[in-house]
Amino acid sequence: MSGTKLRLNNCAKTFPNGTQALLPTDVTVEPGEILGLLGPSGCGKTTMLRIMAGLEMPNEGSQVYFDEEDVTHIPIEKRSVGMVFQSYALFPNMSVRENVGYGLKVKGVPNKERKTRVDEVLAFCRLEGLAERSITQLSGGQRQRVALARAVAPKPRVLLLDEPLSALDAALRDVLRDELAAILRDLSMTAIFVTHDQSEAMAIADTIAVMNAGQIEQRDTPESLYRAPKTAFVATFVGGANRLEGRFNGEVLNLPGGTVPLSFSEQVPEHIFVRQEDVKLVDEANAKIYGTVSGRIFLGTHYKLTLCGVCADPFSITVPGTDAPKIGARVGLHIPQHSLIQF
Amino acid sequence: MFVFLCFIPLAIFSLAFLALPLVRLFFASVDSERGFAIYADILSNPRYMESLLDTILVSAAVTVAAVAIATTAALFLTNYRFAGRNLLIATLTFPLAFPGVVIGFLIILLGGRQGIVNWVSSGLFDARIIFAYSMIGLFFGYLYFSIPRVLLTVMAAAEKLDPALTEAARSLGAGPLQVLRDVTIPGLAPALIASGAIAFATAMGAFGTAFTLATNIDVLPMVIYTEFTLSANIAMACALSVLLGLVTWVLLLISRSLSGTTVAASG
Amino acid sequence: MSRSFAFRFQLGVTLFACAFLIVPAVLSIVAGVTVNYFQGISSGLTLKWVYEVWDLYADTIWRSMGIAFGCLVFTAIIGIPAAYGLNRFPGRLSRVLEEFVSLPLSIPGLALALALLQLYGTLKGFRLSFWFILVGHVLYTLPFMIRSVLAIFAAIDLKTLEEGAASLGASPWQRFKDIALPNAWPGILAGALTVVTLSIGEFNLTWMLHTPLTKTLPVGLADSYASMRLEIASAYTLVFFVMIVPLLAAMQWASNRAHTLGARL
Repeated sequence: MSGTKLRLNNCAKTFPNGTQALLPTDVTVEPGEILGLLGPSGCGKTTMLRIMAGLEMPNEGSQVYFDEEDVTHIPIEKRSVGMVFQSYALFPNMSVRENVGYGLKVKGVPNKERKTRVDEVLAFCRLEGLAERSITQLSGGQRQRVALARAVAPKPRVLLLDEPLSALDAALRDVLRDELAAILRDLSMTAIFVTHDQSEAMAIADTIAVMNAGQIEQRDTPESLYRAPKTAFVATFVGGANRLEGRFNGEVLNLPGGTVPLSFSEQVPEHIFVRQEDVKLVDEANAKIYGTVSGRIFLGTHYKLTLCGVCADPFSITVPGTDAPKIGARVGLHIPQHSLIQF
Repeated sequence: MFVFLCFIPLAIFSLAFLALPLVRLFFASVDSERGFAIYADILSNPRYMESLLDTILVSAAVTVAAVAIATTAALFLTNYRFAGRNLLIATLTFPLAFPGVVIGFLIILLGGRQGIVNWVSSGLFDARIIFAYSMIGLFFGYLYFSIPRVLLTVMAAAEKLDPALTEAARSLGAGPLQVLRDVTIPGLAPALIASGAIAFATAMGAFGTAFTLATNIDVLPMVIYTEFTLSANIAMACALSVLLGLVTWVLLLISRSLSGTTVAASG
Repeated sequence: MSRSFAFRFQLGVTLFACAFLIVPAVLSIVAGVTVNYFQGISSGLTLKWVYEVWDLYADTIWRSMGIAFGCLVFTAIIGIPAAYGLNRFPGRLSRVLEEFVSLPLSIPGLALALALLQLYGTLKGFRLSFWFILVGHVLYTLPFMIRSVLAIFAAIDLKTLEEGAASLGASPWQRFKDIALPNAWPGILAGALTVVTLSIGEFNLTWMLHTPLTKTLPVGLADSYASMRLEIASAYTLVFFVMIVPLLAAMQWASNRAHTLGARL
C-alpha cells in the first residue's frame, strides 16, 4: 500500500489546568492503514488526533514521526495533513470549488492545474454539478463530502477525521458510513478517525484502538476486539456482554440461576463474559441454568430480554425470530462453553 | 508573527492616548502645593460633597425610573405583537445617540419658559409650570437618553427568556404578578443590573445636558468644568475627574461581575 | 390583577414613554420650519431658517462628517486586527486588554478630555487641529468596533474555520485575509455604522477639546442654543436629526443582521 507511516512515540498530553488528557502512549499506523480511535467522551481520542495533526503540542519527551521525519514541533500549516472537522469548518464565504481548492491555492498551484485537480476530487466524492454552489445551500451529507474533498485535494500525507459522521442525523449516518468506508478504502491513504460509535468504527476501520481514561486498552481488528476482548472495559464497550460472577468448584461455575460448564488452560480467569446473542433459550427440562423475564423489548429483527435471577447483575439476551417469552415467564438457558469470553 | 503585529496599532494608540494621559491626569491632580492632600480637601469640602450627593441622587432616581419604565415597555413589546409595534420600538429608541446638548434643548422645549407644558398649563389652569432649568429638568433630560438604552438591553434579554418557564409557572397556578416577580424579573436580573449600572454611570458623568440647562444645577461634571475653565483650578479639576472616573469605573466593574453581561450602550 | 388590566397598564406606560420622547422632538422639528414659533403654525411654514443654519454652520456639518469618516478609518485600522488578535488569544490577558480599551465608556468624557489636555495641551500644532478631536472620538468609539467584530468572530466560530484553513497550509496572514475578514463583514458593517453615528453625536469630549476653528455639529448646536433664536436652533437641530436618525436606523438594522446571520452559519 502507498502512504505514510505514522508513529507516536511516548506521546502524552497534560493540559495547563492539570488534566492528563493522554497518558504516555505508543502508536504505529502502517502506510495505507485505516485506524479508528474508539472510546467514550474524555478518553483522550480527540487529543491524540489533534497531536497527530499538530493542533496540540504533546508533553516534553513525546515524539511524532511521519515516515522517518520527526514532525513533533512542526505546526499544522507545514505538516501536510488533511483534516476533516466534526463541524466540517467549511468556509462560508467560498463556493464548493473554492473551498475544495483552497489548500492548492495556498500552495501556489496554478489555476489550470488547480481546476483539474478540484474537478477530479469532486468527481471522486460524487459532488459533480455542485462546484459553483455556495456551501450554505448544501445538505448535511453534501457538506460532509465537501469537507472530505477539501482535505484530500492537496494530497496530504495523512488523513485525520474528527467524528466525521456525528453531525448527521441517524438515518443519513448509516448510508454515509458505508460510503465513507468505501471512499477511504479507494483512497488507500493512511487515515485515522475518531468516533464514539462502535458500529461506525467497525464498519470503517482496519484496526481499532479502544481508549479509556487517556490510554489505549486494546488495539486489534474489529473481529478480534469483538470475539477476544482483553479487558472488561473493551468487552462491555464493544458489543453488549453479560458478566458472569460466581464460584468455581472444579467443573462448573456456580451462579444464582444454575451452573455453567467451564474449563480453562492455566488458572481461574479473572473475568468471564458471554455475549447477549450467544445465550440460547432451551426447554426447561434440559436446562442447567434458569432465569425469569423481567423486561422485553421488540427491536425489529430480534427481541431483547432482560432476565433476573440468573446472576447478581441484570442479564440480557437477544432472541431472534418473531416471538419471545413474555414478562414473568421462567426460561431455561444454554450458555455454550465455547462462546465464553475469559481473561 | 503576524498575530503579534495585529496588536501593534492598538498598543500604540492606547499607550499614547489613553494610558499616558490618564497617568498624567493623576499627576496633574497632585501637582499643587496641596499635593496628595487635595483628595482629603475634596472630602472635607461641603460644596463638593453636596454636589457629589446631588449627582448621586439624581442619577439613582433616573436609574430607578428608567429601569421601571423601560422594563415595563420592553416586556409589553416582547410579549404582544400588534400592528404598529415596530413604530413604537423605533419611537422609543431613536434618541439613542443624541448628545446631551440636544436633549437639554428638547427639555427646554418641553418645560422651559416657552415650553409646551407651560403653554398648556397657563391656558388650561392659569398656572405657570416651568421645570426645565432645575434638577427636575435634569432628571427628565437624563431619563430621556436612559430609556432607549435600558429598553434595548432589556428587550434583547427578554427575547432570550425561555417562554416555557412562564408557561410552567402559569400551569402551576401563578397569576401575572407572581410570574413577573418569580420568573420574569429573576430571569432578567443580569440585564437589569447591567443596564441600570450603565444608566447610573452615564448620568453621573453626563455633561452636555446640564450644560445646556445651566443656571442653578451643580452636578459634579459641571463643578469640574467650572473649576477648570472659570476658576483655572487645574489640580482640583483633575482630582475631581480622577475621583469621578474611579467611582463610575468601579461601579461598572462590580455590576459586570454581578450580572456577567455587557450592555447595548448604543445598539 | 386581571390580565387585561396588566395589558392596559403596560400599554399606558409604553405610550406615555413614547409621548415623552417624541413630543419635544416633533416640537423641535416644527419650530425649525415655522416662520414664528410663538405664533405657531398659523404663521406659516418656511425653509428660511434651514437656509440660515446652512449659512452659519455649514462648516460644522462638513467637519463632523469628515471627523466621523476619519474616525471610521482609524477604528477599522486599529480595531479589526486587534479584535482578530483578541479572538486568537482568549485568555485573561486579552480580557484585561479589552477592559482597558473600554475605559472610555466607563470614565466620563470630561475626565478623558482633561487627561488629553493635560498631556498634549502644550503641543500647539496638535492641540489646535481637528486631529485632537479625532483622537477623542476614536478613543470613545473604538470599543464598539472591537466588540462588534469580536461578536461576529465568535458567532461564526472563527477558531474552527481557522483550524480548517491551517490544516490546508494557510499562513496566519492568509487566514486573516481569506477567512477572517470576508466572513466578519456583517460585524464590521455594524461596527462601522455605530462608530459613525456615535462620532457625529459626540459632545462631552469634543466640547473640551475644540477650538473656535474646529467646531463640530454638536458644538455648533450648543452655541446656537445659547445665542440664537429658537427657530434657528430648532432648524439646526432638525438638520442634525435628518443626519443622525437614518444612520441610527441603519446601525440597528446592521446589528440585528449581524446577530442573525452569525447564528445561522
